[in-house]
Amino acid sequence: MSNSKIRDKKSYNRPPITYPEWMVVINGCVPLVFLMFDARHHQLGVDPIRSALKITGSLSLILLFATLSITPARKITRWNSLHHFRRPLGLMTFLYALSHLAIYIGFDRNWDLADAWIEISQRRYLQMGSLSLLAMVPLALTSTPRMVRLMTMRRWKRLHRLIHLALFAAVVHFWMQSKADLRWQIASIAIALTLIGLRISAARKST
Amino acid sequence: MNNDQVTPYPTFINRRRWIKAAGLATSAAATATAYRFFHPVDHGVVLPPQIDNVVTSPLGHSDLIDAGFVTSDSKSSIYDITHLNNFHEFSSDQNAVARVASDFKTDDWSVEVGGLVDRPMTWTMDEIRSEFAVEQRIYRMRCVEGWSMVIPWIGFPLSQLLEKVKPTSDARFVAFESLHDPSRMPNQVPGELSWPYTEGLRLDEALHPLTILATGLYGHQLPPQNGAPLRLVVPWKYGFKSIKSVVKIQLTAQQPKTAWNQAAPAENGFYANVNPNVDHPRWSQATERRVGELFRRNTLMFNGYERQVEHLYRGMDLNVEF
Repeated sequence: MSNSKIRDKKSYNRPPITYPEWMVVINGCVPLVFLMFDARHHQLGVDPIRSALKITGSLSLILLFATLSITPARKITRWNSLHHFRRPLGLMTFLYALSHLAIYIGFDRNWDLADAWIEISQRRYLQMGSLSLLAMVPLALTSTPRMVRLMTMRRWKRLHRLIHLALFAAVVHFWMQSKADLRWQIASIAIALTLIGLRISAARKST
Repeated sequence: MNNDQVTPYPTFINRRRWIKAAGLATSAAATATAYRFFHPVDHGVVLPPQIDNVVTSPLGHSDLIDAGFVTSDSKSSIYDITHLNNFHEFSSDQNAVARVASDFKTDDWSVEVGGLVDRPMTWTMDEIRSEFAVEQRIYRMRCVEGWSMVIPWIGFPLSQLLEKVKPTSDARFVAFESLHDPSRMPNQVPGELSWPYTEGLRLDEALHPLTILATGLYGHQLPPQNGAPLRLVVPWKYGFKSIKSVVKIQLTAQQPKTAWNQAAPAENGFYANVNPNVDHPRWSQATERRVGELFRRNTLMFNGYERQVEHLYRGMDLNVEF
């Protein structure tokens, strides 16, 4: 119609929330609601801060795996609408990583930023965690369709390869903070290697 | 197909919306169930039999507070006390000790007391229970790792037991040993600590009225994870000094070897007095997290028992003898 240009611009600025997005956001917030409820009712066990860190950290890692498995899963199943899940999954990953850090600084370090900084500067595993989160920041900031358009798809894709740095640092962070039982850490490394392997083989095929 | 068999557009769009909403609700319910499966809420506490002959102290409340025998800090919950345990003989995972130790049997337990004494003796637990009148002591417990609890122990002063064996004039230290039995303590494997776990006190520390041998907590006999059937409690020292499941007590002339001091001498001194001014090499000891509280609180000198024990350490450089 005559004013289609105006409408197009509007829809680019504020795209409606799609069904897959609702799906991911609502399901993604369920653990957060449980976490807050359990914290409020002293139900997080003996060491609530450690539990909360464990829950947010592992969920962030699981969501990161889910985000990265969308593209290979889409290729294997040829179910193209799967890609609608990728952006909300990535953003939920960021949300959990952010709350993981907030719980660390807020409760483990009592909002003492200087103290948190000293701890982070002294401990390699904390640096790895911070690196992972930092790598996600530009990805979250450029997650809107508008940013993709502004950046052009080629440069956007190049920037979003940072996700592999986030993945690497997150898995190393998970590995380094562990004490004795390494089963989950080994599983996470296996998943990360599989995901990266799938990427590399896909890239080889396409060139 | 007749035109009236086609679902009218508004109904159609409405139905779609309902199906979508139902899909969201179902998936959210599934996620919630999965979450509770992985993070169950467990408040079950299994406690050994109750101790029925706890003696009420003749002291009034303010005298008890003065002596340090009770504290006005609120007590930690039974769940917390029985589910956060550093007891490496069973597991190096603090939260797993309760589960791993649950089948630990302490029948036929005996405690051998000897060394530089006039009357070496061996007591069975039954003899200890009938020999020594037990009372309640509500102590703060500060772990070297930076957390603390408030625990209502049931026990008797160690000095009463030492009086029975009559230490000789050469005795200057007391050495303690835990049970060494890998068939009953599954994590007693070669590693950071050497077995049996050992601890020690200077004789004047051992004779201090705050130093007790505990046989129970919260009115019940000690659960396995808390050091059944008999453990030491020295409230002004880091928790690792309060050795669990004691089988042997020796009076010595020389400062005895102690488990954590041997494992990491730069980190754990022989004295291990709670001291906010002397940091652990890997972290500050200025604050602690009281289990059950959200924010950290300041650690007190000698864990708040400064008035009662400070005289034991006059003239000592606590930075050196930590």
